[in-house]
Amino acid sequence: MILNDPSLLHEQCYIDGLWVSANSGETVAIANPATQELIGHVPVMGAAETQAAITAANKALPAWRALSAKERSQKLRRWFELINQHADDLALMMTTEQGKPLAEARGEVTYAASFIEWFAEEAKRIYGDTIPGHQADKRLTVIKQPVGVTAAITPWNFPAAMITRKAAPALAAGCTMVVKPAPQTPFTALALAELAHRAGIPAGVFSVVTGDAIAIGNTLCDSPIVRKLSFTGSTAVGIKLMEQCAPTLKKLSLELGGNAPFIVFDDADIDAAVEGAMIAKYRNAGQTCVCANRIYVQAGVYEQFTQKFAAAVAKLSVGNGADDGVNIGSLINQDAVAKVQSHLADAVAKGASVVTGGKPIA
Amino acid sequence: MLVAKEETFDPLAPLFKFDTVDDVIKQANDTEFGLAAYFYGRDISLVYKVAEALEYGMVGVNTGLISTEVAPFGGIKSSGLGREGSKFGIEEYLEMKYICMSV
Repeated sequence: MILNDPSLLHEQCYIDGLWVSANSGETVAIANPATQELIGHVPVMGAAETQAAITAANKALPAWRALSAKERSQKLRRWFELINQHADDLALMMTTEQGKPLAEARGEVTYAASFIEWFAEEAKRIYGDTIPGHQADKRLTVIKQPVGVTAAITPWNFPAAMITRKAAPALAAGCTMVVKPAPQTPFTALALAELAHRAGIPAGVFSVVTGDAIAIGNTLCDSPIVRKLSFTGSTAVGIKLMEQCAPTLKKLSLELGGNAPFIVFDDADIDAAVEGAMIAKYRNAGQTCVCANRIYVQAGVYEQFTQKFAAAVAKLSVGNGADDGVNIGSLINQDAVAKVQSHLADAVAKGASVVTGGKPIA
Repeated sequence: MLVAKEETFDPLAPLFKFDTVDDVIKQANDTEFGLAAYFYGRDISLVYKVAEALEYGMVGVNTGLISTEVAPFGGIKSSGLGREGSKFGIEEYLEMKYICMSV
């Protein structure tokens, strides 16, 4: 992986404005899922380092929330601009650690940056309310204030956007945040931290901790200082986190699993429906929570749709996401390959027929 | 069938044939999840009714791409809590305080 700006690749975590190793010195190797080539190592941190990040976030909170909305907005805007400036490097890094085609990775960087742009703007529009008093001498107002120290646990399928979608509104509101990125995709997260640092976002406001998912997650959930957790991932893990956050009554945002239906009615524009199904199904090789999971086609157009859809699917180019013209990159790991095969075998055993494909490639 | 019940999260695209609108709504909603749904059709009454009947946080009508920072992203049922992005997204990071002042 050759970056225009090699200093974006960090093999340490970003805590309290500093690049640090695990207390134990332990690291884990991260490989490219398409080639199995080593990309680099990241620290295996645990409870102590996570606690240090929470303490730093708490320490940074008073000054960060005391900034005017415009001042926070300007720093976020700078972060947005830096991400766009380094979009090619970020996209290459993402493809290398996650597997999605380069064009999709480039699209995700733009999408990720858009949340920072949006919430930089929204920071200035956190309006309150006035309420006519219930008695002649009463004046009632409602104000909005930041929740405080927050935490985010993010998935591998969108290594950049799932972080910015949480961090941007948090920082815009005046909160500070500790992020635990997915174990498979730490480098994109650490590069975002590098750019946040360059944007002038103060120490402790945004930290990234990699390592032991259970120890880090437990520390974030158990901490009374952390007032909110935002998680994107599976429903099973979401339920577990909700249970763990119950004793401290944390606020929760949970963006969990999907099982999206995609329905084509008899009067649909079939070509448009095929095009839409290709996007909704095959974005990131089907590895998104909003991917079409079940395609229902009305009897009158079933044959026509199936034929056109199968023809479009047969044209997809599968390969290393870094190569030109590839539409479908590597699945994240062998477990994912095994899962698609088990779903396919189960469907065929229950009477389904394979129209096109049906076998693993390489 | 596993592929109709579980989140696939891979490039397998199962096709199912249906006859009536009521049937497909029932099948589409027969899941613990409620994140995104999509449909293609042109009859405006049907479009509106189906969009309302789908038990999902987000519905794409005649489009397969719904993600944008300006709209509220999120699900219902076992797909989660809260919304990300849009004017609603920042509320997830704000507390409301009511101040009662006697003058």
